[in-house]
Amino acid sequence: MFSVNYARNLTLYAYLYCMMQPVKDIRRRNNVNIFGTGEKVMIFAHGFGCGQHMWRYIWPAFEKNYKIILFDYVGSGQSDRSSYNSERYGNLNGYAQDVLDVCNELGLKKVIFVGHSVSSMIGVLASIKRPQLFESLIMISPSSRYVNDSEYVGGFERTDIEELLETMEKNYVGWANFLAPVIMQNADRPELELELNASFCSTDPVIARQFAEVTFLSDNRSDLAKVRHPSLILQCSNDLIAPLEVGEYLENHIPGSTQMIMNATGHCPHLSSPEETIRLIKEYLA
Amino acid sequence: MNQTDFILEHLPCGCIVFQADGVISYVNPALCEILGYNRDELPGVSIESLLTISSRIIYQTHLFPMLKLQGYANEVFLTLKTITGSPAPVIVSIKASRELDHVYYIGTLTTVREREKPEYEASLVSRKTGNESDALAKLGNEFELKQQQLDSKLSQLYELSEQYIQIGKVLTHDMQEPIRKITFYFNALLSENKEKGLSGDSRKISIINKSVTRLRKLTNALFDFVSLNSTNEAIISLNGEDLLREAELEVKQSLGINDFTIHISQVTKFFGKYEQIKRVFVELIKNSVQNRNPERPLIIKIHSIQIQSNTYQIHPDKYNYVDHIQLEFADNGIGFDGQFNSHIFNLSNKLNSNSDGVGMGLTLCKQIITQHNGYIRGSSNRGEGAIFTIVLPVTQAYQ
Repeated sequence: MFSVNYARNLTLYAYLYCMMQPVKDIRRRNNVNIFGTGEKVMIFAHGFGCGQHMWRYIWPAFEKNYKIILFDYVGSGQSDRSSYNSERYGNLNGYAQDVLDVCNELGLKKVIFVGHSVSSMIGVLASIKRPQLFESLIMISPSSRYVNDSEYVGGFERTDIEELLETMEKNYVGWANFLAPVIMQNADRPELELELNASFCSTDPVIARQFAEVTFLSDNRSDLAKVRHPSLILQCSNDLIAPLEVGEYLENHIPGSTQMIMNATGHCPHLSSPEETIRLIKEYLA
Repeated sequence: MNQTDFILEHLPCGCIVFQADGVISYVNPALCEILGYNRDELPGVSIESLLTISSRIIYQTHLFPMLKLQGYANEVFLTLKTITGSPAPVIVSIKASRELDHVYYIGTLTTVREREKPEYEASLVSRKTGNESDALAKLGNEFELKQQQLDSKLSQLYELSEQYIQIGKVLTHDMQEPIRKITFYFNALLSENKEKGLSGDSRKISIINKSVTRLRKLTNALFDFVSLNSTNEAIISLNGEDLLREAELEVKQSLGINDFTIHISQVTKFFGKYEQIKRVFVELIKNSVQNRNPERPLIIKIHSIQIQSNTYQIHPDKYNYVDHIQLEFADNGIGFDGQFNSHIFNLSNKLNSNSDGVGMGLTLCKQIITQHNGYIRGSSNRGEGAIFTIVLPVTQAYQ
């Protein structure tokens, strides 16, 4: 008599059903921390590896003039690991949803997004989905694709990445650093809290393995042309993970982007050369 | 040779000292043996040059940040590149030590070739398969439960939708006839009175007239809304630009208003029901026209991109990111108060009391978009124009 379509129309009931599901507190889920006294908002998004502590040398330089938002992606840093969902975080869009969730939860608009490494592309995905939430993008050591592809130089061969994933499969990277804090926590000794807090680079090895796969096998080249916000590309001069060719490719393919080649080497200029990183961001925002 | 040197020289594991920039200043004989280098070849080179590419990634993303931020890293698994190019898996522990103004990183490296032996791998495999079968059984149970829940929800929805159709029929079709009669006899009465020279109370007459007109418009719109489901349209490949231009023409003809401009960016083809999607475009353009700012010519900018979005909209823990088309309608009209962002899609909630619409258009849009497994949202700040964003799957797999 009537089709399934009719049933589907009654979204109202479906929404009610959805409303009954427990909503996880986003602030706790993503370990959101807010600092600073300014009006304008800067959100700092960490890359693959360690959590929000990676920004510790950077954000204090902006706290006088900006509202600073720090967070950990679900599965990284001190986020709520029980919220990890391998379907969601099997795609960079799942990570982009974390950024959008945090912005929605805090009612943020016209945000200056600062992303390191893979977070640069996560920021791109978030900004093209909800352009109204963002004002500009600052990308530190970004890459649109890590694996070489005919003319495109990403820096790695597919076998390199497969070897990386295999290495991570062996779980050695994380176990000692990941399990240690849990053991300490069980000991219930408050004097160890400092050390516990110092465990921010620990990652659940299984999650780290999937994050590595999603990161290093990602290909966001077709998203670059969709960027509508002004953007800054901070390119290190000798970065194994994001070589100079990648920075040039990004600058050529992201409309309204500016590339600065840093004196800093390696993949983490915000740790190795915080002064230069701060100076270039300040110059760009001025 | 003093005792400390003696111990270092004969240590049964590799020992390395490097500076903050990664340049090696010391290696012991055991490490040279693992790598196959002569002792004087290693000081001065970068620690990264001794690692395979995958281990260099781990060095950059984990080891270096850990050393920099917490001053140590324990039991990190790395693969060294020996002089012949063959890999040497090692477990590394490194600690930062300060001497005067200099930071040195002192590390020990132990080979783990033995642990690569089959029994170790076998234990990993059995642990993994054990976990997998547990996980499978759990999933099976969850699936069964979900199916039952889904079935029960569906039967409730069928029941509700039947009621909904019945109410819709009564509300719309059955009410149209009495309204038509009232209008007819009211007009007849008016003209009779005119002939007899009875003027009556013109204010009251005009109120009755207005109310009847509004009632008729409302029932028509409701009828429209309810009957949207009864048409059985096929899903075809749609050319968004053509459809938008047709919708523009339709609005211009039906409202008799021509003084607005629509800019359309390139739209990728997507699948949907032709008439229904056109209807959405018509309603959105109409909405902009009805809420235009009288002080400036109306401009609607339609921007389209392809994004990946989750196909699951209700289930909180399900994710499947597939290609969607995102269409953004931005106008320079009067906008609406941001607090009503979701309110605007509710049935007959009209924010602009000056427009002559009945407040059904956006509800209709939402219904159509939902049927197409997409979603729509609106955002605005009063005075700044409104932005409506539609996100639709490129293909309609579940219809």
